Amino acid sequence: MTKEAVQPSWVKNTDKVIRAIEADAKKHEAVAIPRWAREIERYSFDFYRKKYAKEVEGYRKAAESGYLVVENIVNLPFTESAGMYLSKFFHALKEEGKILANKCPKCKRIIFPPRIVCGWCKIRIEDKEENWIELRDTGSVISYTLTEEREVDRATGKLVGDYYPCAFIRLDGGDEWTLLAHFLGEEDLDSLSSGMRVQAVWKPKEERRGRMTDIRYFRKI
Amino acid sequence: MAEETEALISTERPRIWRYTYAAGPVRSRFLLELKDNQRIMGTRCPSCNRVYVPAKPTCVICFSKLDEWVEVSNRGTVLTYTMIAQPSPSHKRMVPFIYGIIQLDGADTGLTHFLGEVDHQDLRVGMRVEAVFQEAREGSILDIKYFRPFSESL
Amino acid sequence: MAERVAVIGIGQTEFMSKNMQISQSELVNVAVRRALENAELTIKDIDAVIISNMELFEGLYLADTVLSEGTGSYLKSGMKVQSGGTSGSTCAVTAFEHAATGLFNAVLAIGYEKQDEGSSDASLRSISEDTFFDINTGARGAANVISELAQEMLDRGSVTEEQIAKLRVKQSENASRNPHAHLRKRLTVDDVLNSRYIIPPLRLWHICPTSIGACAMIVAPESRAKKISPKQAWVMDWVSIHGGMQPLVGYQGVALGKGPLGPMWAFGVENSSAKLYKRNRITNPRKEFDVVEVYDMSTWNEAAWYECMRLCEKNSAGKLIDEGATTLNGDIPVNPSGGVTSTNAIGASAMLRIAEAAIQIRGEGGERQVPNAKTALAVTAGGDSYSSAVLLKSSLV
Repeated sequence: MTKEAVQPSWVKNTDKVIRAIEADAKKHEAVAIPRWAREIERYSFDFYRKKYAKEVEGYRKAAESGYLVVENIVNLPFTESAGMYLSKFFHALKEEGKILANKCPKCKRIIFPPRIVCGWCKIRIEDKEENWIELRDTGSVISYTLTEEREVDRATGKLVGDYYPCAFIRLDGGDEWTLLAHFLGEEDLDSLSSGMRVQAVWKPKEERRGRMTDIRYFRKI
Repeated sequence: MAEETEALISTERPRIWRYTYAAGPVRSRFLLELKDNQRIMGTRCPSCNRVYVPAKPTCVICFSKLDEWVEVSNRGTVLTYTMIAQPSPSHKRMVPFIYGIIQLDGADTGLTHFLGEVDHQDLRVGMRVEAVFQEAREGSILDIKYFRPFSESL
Repeated sequence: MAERVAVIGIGQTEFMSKNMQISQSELVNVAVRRALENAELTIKDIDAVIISNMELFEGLYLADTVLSEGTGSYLKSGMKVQSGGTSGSTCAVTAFEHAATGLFNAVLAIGYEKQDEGSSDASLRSISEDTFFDINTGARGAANVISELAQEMLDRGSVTEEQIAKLRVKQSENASRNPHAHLRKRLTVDDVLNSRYIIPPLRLWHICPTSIGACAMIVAPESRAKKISPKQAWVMDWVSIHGGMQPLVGYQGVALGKGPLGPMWAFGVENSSAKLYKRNRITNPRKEFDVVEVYDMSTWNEAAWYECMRLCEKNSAGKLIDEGATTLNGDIPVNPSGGVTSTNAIGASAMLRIAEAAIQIRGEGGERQVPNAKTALAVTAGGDSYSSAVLLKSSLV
């Protein structure tokens, strides 16, 4: 004789439970799934279906011979925080058009981008005026490259992507360890050389967002 | 102002990736049987005498290759169930929904799937359910719409 | 007290660019069964299973448990290991360390790759780049960095383009004799010199392909090895080091490029091989090794590693190539398997270097066997300057 299965109490109160969870979810929705992510989610499924339509058609045909392919689109919203020192660095970029760096009080090396701990001495760099220095927005190109080969998109077989020249630039005011990876304004590889002088071209203040792209590119001077 | 603390900067980055998993010969057959013939098949290990549903290519316990296919019933017993009400971008159905782990007659494993056409008050561990298939099927586990309770006497 | 460790079984699948007819667990299963057959063991004799996997490449969150039907790891010890490009060798080193404790009879190490199911390229770029700097400036990953290494080597006079082409031809010769390799076509120097530029001076034929496949190795401690399996390749020593210039230089983008410490990843290989040589009192690696396997993500890297591993003097990698010293018949054969430029299944590549060294020692190299291989060295490298170096010998004395 089977015993009558016992029902947990929450089953009786499901309506109440659902309403409470929904209210809670709404409260946390803005944090759990930010608005921009909700919009992206809707767009991403359509975007991927259209982009890979040909590949999916291929899988449908393969299924006829007995081999299936299961598709999964992962959409994860991430929010990363810059931390105290990088936030100060990006604020300076945005508000004042300045490039900041740290100086270790012990070994006097210049730490760019600014960090809380000096990697050599392993000591904390305090947030004091004397530990912050400003780098110039001019510099010398150390090495450069132009990615002239675009990629072949596996799904469509077409060449996609931009090509843009980028370089490692040693900013004036820094030491031998100061290197910034950024775009160059020149596309002709022959006109570029190691050691050439460049200057930053900034976005106007209202367009700056507190990112490295507040500098549009570096042009030859 | 000296008192004002600068807001901490954070960057929001969506990470969207697309994966296409190859089902392989064994799982493809399982899914195609759902799609074409509306029947649920499993593979049987001769030494352990276990039937795996969904079908597996190798026995997890004794490592033998499994090539014996058996058909299991569309009906089974609910081993446990729960309800999801919290929304999440990874869910395939709208919340709230109920799902359970169902042991189909003839299988030795549980199958996780939705439970439908049932009221919360009537949910019981041990209740008998049967599969309801979709009209339009495409070869995925969601070709089974849900499992609904049925009465043995009918 | 640590025991000495032997490799007693090796299995690998054939490597190819795409195969959507086999699932991940079945692919791994093929390699595992071949390794068990090679060692003359059954899955019951295995006590621990270590698997290497980068979650985003295959889209599998818990590869060690989800693939247990293919790996046979049900109720056994073990874990998932990942360290970027060197995941396979880190996995092998973890297996060595498990075996060295003497607590396990036999340990199975698995490295696999099934990147046709995901986009390893997109995952790499969206996660591994520094959020605040590189992603905005579009630093594009490995090809940029390798071209900088290549430019630097040309400037220094270390190699010429023709010598690199010769080196690539040597790799293709070796790969044509390896039934498991991906790119097996025998190339000519003209093929290589006429292939188009990706980023000058890097050409299409210099760089590795994207392959899928799996590799499995079984290792055992000394007290059990001779009893349970007829052939062993003894792992005498191994060194594994984190590079990672991040605390020293600004951010990861710079660590991958050129800094005051030299071109990318050379830092890791130099240090790991130097440490291994010092611990084992090796002073002339070119004479003391019979065969070497290196992780050459491009042909330029292979030439760079010759110098970093001190097989030749600084700035004379080109001379070593011209002498033909690193071909199968030379005095220091390098990469008899064809190397990573012939087969790059990311999760398996680093392990294949150690597996191939073991295959050579055990005399199972077939057409690509180096005659009388008794001492082998396998050195792997990957981002961000991670490197492992493993020393293998055919006998304990």
